[in-house]
Amino acid sequence: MTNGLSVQLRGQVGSLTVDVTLPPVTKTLVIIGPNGAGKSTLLSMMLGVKPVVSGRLSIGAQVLFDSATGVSAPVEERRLAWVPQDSGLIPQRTVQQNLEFAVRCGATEAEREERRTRSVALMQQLELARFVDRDVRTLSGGERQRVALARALCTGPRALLMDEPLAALDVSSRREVRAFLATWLEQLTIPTLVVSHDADDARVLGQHLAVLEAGRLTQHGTWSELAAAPASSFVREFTGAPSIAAR
Amino acid sequence: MTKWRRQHLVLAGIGGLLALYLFAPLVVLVASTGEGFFHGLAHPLVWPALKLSLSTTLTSLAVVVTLGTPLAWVLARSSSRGARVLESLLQLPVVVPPAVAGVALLLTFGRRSLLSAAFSPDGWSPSFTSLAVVMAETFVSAPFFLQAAISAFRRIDGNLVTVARTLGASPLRIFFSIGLPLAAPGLLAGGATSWARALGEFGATLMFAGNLEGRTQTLPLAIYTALETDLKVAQSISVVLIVAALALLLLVRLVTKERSP
Repeated sequence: MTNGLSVQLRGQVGSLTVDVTLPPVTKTLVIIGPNGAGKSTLLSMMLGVKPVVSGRLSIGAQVLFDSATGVSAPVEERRLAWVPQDSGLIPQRTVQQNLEFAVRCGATEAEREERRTRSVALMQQLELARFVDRDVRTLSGGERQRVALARALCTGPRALLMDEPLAALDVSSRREVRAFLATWLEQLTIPTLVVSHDADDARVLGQHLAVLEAGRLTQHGTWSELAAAPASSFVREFTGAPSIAAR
Repeated sequence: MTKWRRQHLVLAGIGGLLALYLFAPLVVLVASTGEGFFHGLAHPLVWPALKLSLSTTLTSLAVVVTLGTPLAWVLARSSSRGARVLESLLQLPVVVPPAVAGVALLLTFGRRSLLSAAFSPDGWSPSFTSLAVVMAETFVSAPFFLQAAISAFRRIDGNLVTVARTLGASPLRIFFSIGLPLAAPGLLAGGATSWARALGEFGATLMFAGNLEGRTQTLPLAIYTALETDLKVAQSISVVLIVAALALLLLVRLVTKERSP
């Protein structure tokens, strides 16, 4: 587990105390929980944009935050890729310009070159080549997610954090995008956290799930483990009655 | 006519009175100027004042935009209490009477001010120079730009900035690549409003810069002077200012309309 993501963070945002220790993340961990449970807040704390009171955040040997030693890497240097719910693409810009923006954010010329090479490869893999000159506002939700993924991953991040990647999609495209994303995440070699409040999405996107309720981790395990022994009424309802068959 | 329609007309009629009152004087002014317009413009008072108005307001606009844009960005992005307080205080020049602003400028930068005593022993000060005109215009017009710029920056999705930071973007890159382009229509509208305010500036200029032909006499001050001798000249200048204001108002409408999807 050399490249595993280890999260143990405690912070206060508004009236909510988030105090979470996640199971070690090597592949994809799906974080589920009711609205206001602190799922997105936890991601923000990891990114370094919401205050953290205490804890530790590391990927492999790389410590990004440690209250015990006073380590706190700036947001810009954590190299955590973040894809927010609405994709976070720069509007009025083309797909190409959005990727170019990420390329130019590289600190050195060598890094910018690496990013450029990766972005070209990612455009192919994510089937974006034919959209390069399209204004991102004209893309569908699923297409925007793919552009955001390409833009985030071309920086060579240590981990990927996705916040409700499917929530903004309409029902008709959701199923297709979900399947595409699941396959894609399966191939990804960096630790990935996916926040979702939807049972169908959560079941398909990752093997492991962590349940956040009122800022705390209440249960984690595979879908069937959660379904077999739900630790709370939320988990029981979440696993017991998915609105439609996931696949 | 139904009861509903009648009541609706009553409300519209009462409200219309105000609209009539706001428009009528401007219409009368333009209509009564008529053919005398070009004759009035030929008066020796007009051309120097027009030149001075243009050069000073363009200078003050440049100062306001250059310094105001970064200030607005920082204030819009900050969540601290201090920033909120500062933001409110920066609107003070809007509500403070221009004459008061003029007195304040005179006390701060005038011949007998502490600043002048410290930096210019021979007694030079910007008061009653063209520079004073620019300073007065900057003082009164800056808040209009700041307000528009702050709200334009605030309309930018905060997630965009956070994503850019996770990609490694520096604050300057975020400002130039995200902040400026996305807020451009709002900044343009703010610039136009602020320019219009500077063009009309009278009170603070009169107090701090005086009414010296060719040096500090801007168009509004020229109107004031012309009023004493030749009403037609005052009218002609007024029409020029009305047209300028109308053009700037249209510009603001145009860019703010374009912005909404």
